[in-house]
Amino acid sequence: MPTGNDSGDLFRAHVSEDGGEVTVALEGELDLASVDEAKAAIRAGRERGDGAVVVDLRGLAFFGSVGLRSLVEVSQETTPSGRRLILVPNANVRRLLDIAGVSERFDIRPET
Amino acid sequence: MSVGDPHMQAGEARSIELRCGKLAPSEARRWLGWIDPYLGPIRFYDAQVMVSELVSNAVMHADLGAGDPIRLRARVEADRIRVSVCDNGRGFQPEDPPRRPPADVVGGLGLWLVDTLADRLTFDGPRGRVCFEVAREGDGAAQPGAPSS
Repeated sequence: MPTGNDSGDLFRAHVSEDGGEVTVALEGELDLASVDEAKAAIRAGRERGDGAVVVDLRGLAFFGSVGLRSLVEVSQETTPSGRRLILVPNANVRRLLDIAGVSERFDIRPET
Repeated sequence: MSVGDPHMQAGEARSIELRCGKLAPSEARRWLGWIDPYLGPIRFYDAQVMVSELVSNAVMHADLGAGDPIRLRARVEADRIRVSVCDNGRGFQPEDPPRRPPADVVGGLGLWLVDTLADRLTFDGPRGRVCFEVAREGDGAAQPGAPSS
């Protein structure tokens, strides 16, 4: 199974840092083809800075159960470190989080 | 008020055969685009989630080989779209209705999500076939997660 970028141009991840707070911006389609890349980006972000890790989901064009699972998984990994994982969802992502009943598991920053 | 493309006729149907692989879910979502004008934006997004979940399940859980066929069919009904996803894999034994798994358990969330979003969901588990129906917006169908004004 290739471990590289299976999603072609359909997904991008970008990690940036500002004063200890790290932002991982995910854009495009988060699904089976891109989930490994998305989790790797969030884990890479977690290795940087010492403040909150903000996962910016506003640029996602698609988000389903594969994405939901990946966020729960990285959130569970992050908890023991004491670092906050903050999600910034768009309307479609927020609706899926609410329907799945997992919104309360996350720190959610309103879309601005 | 009902949204929808008046040029789309009940009975219009299209089908496609996808190849099993990681790109199959996104190919399924793109293929489903032809029903977008009929459903309206919120329910079309839901339909994309549902078809994506079912194709992802086929890719991950049906024991298909890379490149094996996954068949999709979508049909326009009077007030809804009916979509079926079928594969030649090992089939499955669905719970009826699918129960919501704990959020930290791997697997099972996709089918539960489809059941939650669909207006109607039917299985032929042993044959690896799942059908969902989604009503067009504005025809009085309940929309999961919609704000209750």
